[in-house]
Amino acid sequence: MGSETFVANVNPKGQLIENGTENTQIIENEEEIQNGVINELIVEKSIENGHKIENGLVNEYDDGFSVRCLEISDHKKGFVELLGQLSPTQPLSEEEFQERFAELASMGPDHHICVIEDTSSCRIVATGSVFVERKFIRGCSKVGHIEDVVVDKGARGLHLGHRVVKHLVDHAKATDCYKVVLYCKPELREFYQKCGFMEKNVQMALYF
Amino acid sequence: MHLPQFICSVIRSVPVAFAMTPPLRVESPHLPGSRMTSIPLVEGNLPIRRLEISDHKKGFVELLGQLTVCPQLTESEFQVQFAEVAKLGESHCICVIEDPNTERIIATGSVFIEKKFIRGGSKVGHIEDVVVAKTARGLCLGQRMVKHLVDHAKATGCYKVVLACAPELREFYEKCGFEDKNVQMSVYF
Repeated sequence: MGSETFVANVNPKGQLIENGTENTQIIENEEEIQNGVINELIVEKSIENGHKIENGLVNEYDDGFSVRCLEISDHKKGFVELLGQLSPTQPLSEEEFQERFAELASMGPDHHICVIEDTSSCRIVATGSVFVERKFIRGCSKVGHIEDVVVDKGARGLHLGHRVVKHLVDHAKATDCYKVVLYCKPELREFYQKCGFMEKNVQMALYF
Repeated sequence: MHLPQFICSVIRSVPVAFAMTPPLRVESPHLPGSRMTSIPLVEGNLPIRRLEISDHKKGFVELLGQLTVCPQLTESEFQVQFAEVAKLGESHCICVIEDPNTERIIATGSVFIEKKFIRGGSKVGHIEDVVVAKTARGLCLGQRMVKHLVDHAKATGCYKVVLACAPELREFYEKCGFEDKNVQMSVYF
């Protein structure tokens, strides 16, 4: 399965300003990406199944609630506060946010966070993430792990959750995962079944 | 007749031709430690170490085949994936236990450290692919491996460790300190 790795130049918002291979440079290993360089994003495009990325918008919908990649400026748009609806989340300073953003961006397509912004209020109303785990089983496979899916309480009933999950699943498929897994409360079983998931195992946890 | 523990070890190490009785080992299914916690065994002290490139020759992939579908890998394929995993450093830790007598890998497990924005930029450890060779069960190797992975997650600043398992393994992981939390759901391509 062919794939092409290239550096796409982005503006400070993290939106692509050049797409394609003309003015790009092949980066052989991720060490060439310096820590904290947040103006460059490695995008791995699968030639067969790649999702198209243009101007940072990945999945456009006519109702204005399009799915796109997390951007640095989302810190000011209530991204962290939205996560607080999922789990206790203390505020992050802009610097702390940027540091974590850079760490995750350096993983390229192996860690992907998407958001939906309500452009009328400039607030993030939905988010979710998927990270790609490499395994030796199944002939060196990859598994996508979906985490931290949340839709703002004021934006429920618009199928935004389904959009986020579909986007994350598509991303995992495009990065050659053989499956996607996630953990959820039993009451969310039905929601994820509608997204195409089936119940598999039990989750166990140990807190420090 | 109850044999002292040191005699059990001697019997196990005697060449087959002179063995009078089979090794005194309590066979339990895939729940190591469930009946052996009070008897220290030589195998209980086998070191746990990080996966190495040479483990390809020591049956690492074959051991994973006892967990799930795991076709054999060429040395080159193994090395490529090894290098990919190694790039993550302490964020992806695959550990093994080797039987020094046979130079075969008899237990393995991994923990992946996920960085999050929640909880003030926290980390979560994800334990995966824990398996103990069928011939090495009942020696607490599974519990020791899980403890090792949990300790690694704690040392790297995780606030919790999570894993998915078949319902019949709940009891094993409860003995490792885990509690039943949520359900795991999956979609296959």
